[in-house]
Amino acid sequence: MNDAVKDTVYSIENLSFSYPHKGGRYRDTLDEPLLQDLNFSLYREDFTMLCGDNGCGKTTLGKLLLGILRPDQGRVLLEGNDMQTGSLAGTARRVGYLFQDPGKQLFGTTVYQDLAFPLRLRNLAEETIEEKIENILYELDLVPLRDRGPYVLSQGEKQRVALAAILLNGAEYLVLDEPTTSLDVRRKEKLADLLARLRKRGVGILMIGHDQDFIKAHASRVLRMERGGIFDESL
Amino acid sequence: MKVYDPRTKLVVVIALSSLGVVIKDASLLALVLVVGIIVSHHFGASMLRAYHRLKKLLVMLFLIAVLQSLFNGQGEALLVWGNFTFLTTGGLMRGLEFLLRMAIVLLSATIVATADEREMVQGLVQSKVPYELAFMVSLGVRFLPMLAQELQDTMVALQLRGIELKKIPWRSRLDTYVYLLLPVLVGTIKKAEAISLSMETKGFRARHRRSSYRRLRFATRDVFWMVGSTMSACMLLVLYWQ
Repeated sequence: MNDAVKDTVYSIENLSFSYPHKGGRYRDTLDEPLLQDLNFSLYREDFTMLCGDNGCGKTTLGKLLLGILRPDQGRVLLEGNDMQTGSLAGTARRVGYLFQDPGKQLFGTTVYQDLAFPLRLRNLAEETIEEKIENILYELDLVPLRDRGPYVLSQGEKQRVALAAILLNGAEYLVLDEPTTSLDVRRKEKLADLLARLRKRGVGILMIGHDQDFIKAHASRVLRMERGGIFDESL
Repeated sequence: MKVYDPRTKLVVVIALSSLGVVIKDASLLALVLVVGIIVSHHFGASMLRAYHRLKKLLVMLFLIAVLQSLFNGQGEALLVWGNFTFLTTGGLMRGLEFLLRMAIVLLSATIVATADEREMVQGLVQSKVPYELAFMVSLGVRFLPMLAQELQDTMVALQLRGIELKKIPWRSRLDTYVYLLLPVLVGTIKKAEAISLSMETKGFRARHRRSSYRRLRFATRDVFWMVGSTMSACMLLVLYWQ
């Protein structure tokens, strides 16, 4: 598809980022830039894979896209709006972020409670909450786990619960940080099926990872990070 | 910069913080603080760096000091509105004393922070503190920043669920903080488990006695500082109580 007719979710303009160096005598100073002068766009229609060596800044870029980190220079535009002006929670309602360790984003004592509490804070009626949760549990094949504690689940199950929470939030674009790392082949296939279904629903995906087989099989666009820069390998 | 034995730093810190806790006179506390700043600088602590790292805590302490100053009935009234006395000289002094006391405690912490962790354990062991206890102290010191990071990550994860803590009412906000506890607790227990497993695999306390390659020895300057700080603190306390 021509980029001109694609729905642009993110526009990244001259983005640079450095982590603070803790060893400064008087205050934290900035390290060498990890990301330097990046310019690219992400489209809703694509299943974009972001790959590169360990430590090249893939996860950092993911965090910059969500607003968890702030750029030193340049801008991250989400649907045309500068991320600097919005809140993290506001962004999270449009873009979902799945951690490398999904256990870190689970809060409830049961899967149901975990999914319900943010909806309760939005003052939704209990019947509406139940309906929404039952639908998402069915869609993500989580019904048997409804009343189980999220911390005793397997990695793949935790991942699906975290994804369910993200989707209940209303996210229409997903940033997934190495979701295939600790999954076996069968679970990877399950994840691929789930992501394909989400794409059909119009959810855009940026997946950070190394898994070459997964990239070849599922990605519609590949971005490679190297030496602080980003290269579109699909071109 | 001279290298000091960590035990010397501990003795100096105990002397300074004891004075900070016992003395209840603002001018004497100010004197202890000034001496503390000079001592801390001598031991190589960077107060500017500590200031940048503790900025938020300092703001909180200042607010607590302001709260302690208000509505205190002692002394002459300084700020009166109608029938209400908001600020008195007694209240002002109480707030000032609190600030000075906390500054002395934080200053002491900057002195301890200049000591190498491994040397600190060795110092405690050579002072006849059981190795298990000394090791736990050093582990605890290392665990605190990890716990802070865990809490910060959980706060971010909570916001990524679309929850704006600042925008929800106080009552609901308190309920939300309960949800924060679970992942922090689970994360902390998992880390503690991993550390204990790692200690077991490395043979922690596999033998009853443990020898050490490194032995700490007091230099003359260590003796001078230990005796000097202990005697000065005792003399000041005697003068203060008289």
